[in-house]
Amino acid sequence: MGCAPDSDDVYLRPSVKTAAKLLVVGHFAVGKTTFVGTLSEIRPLRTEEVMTQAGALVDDLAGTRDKTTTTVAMDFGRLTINDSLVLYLFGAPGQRRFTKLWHDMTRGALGALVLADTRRLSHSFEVMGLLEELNLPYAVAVNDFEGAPVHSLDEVREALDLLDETPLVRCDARHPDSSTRALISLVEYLLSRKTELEHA
Amino acid sequence: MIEPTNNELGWMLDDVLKVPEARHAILLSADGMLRAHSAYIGRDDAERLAAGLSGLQSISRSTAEFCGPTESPWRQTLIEFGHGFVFLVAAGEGAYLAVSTGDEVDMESVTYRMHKLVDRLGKELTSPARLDTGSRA
Repeated sequence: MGCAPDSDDVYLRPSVKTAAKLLVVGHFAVGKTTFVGTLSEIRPLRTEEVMTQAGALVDDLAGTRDKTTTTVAMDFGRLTINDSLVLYLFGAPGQRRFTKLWHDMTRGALGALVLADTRRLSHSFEVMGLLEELNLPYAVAVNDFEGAPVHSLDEVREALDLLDETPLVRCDARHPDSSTRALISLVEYLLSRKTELEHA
Repeated sequence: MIEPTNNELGWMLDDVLKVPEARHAILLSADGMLRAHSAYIGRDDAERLAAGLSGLQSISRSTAEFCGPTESPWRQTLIEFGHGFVFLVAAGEGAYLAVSTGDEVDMESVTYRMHKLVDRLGKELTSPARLDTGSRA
């Protein structure tokens, strides 16, 4: 399987031999679509729809009044990390009514990045619970919203009841450097787990 | 970890495009990764479409109960636009085949060709569920 990819690949270098599927998850309105859009080197796939009155009772918009659309299916983007690794990012919708799609989307995924918002940390438990049920390793990135309360990462770790080994970082989903760092913390975690498993 | 597609099967997909009005074909795995694409669609576009089509299949399947209580396998999703159609069919275990066409296409011959292609490729088109999730095979 050593054939070079097609010559129309602008970004994907022929040396890229490893692809990893990663999920970007988190509760409603935490910034998943922004995150995938910021990082993707190709035009991202977006499935945003205007939010309707029908969702007003279940989709809590507190603190995100400028939000007018929500992802109804998925986000997708691609990020080449280095000469040999390319990441495929799949963003899953945050609302519980999409859980079925979510299960399908975890197929083949190596791990997940959970985005969290300090204004509603407790909303992250549902998503983390689903990942644990599916046995999918994850890292957590606090997406810093302007005006959101700033807590130390230690406090966030405690509030989210994370394992010591679970990476926890801050990021700004609008900025490529900070978002890339969040993703790299997940990749490093997955690689360290893999090494541990191999040596176990 | 998996290898990105090398489009080894791409030439086989071109065969399905012999139907007049057929445009592009994409083969994808159930986890949304591109397996192969026909000649006149770029890889970046094909990868994005593969991801979207896997979501489409998932969502399509979740509406089965709308047809009635019996759980039977999903077979095909058809999308109609003003300017054409997208056909999505199962292509063995864990793989799907999608073809896009213009609006004047003979729908029956497209699906016929798609199923013939799926039959002919049989084993080569499947992406069995991975057993090594989280580590290299």
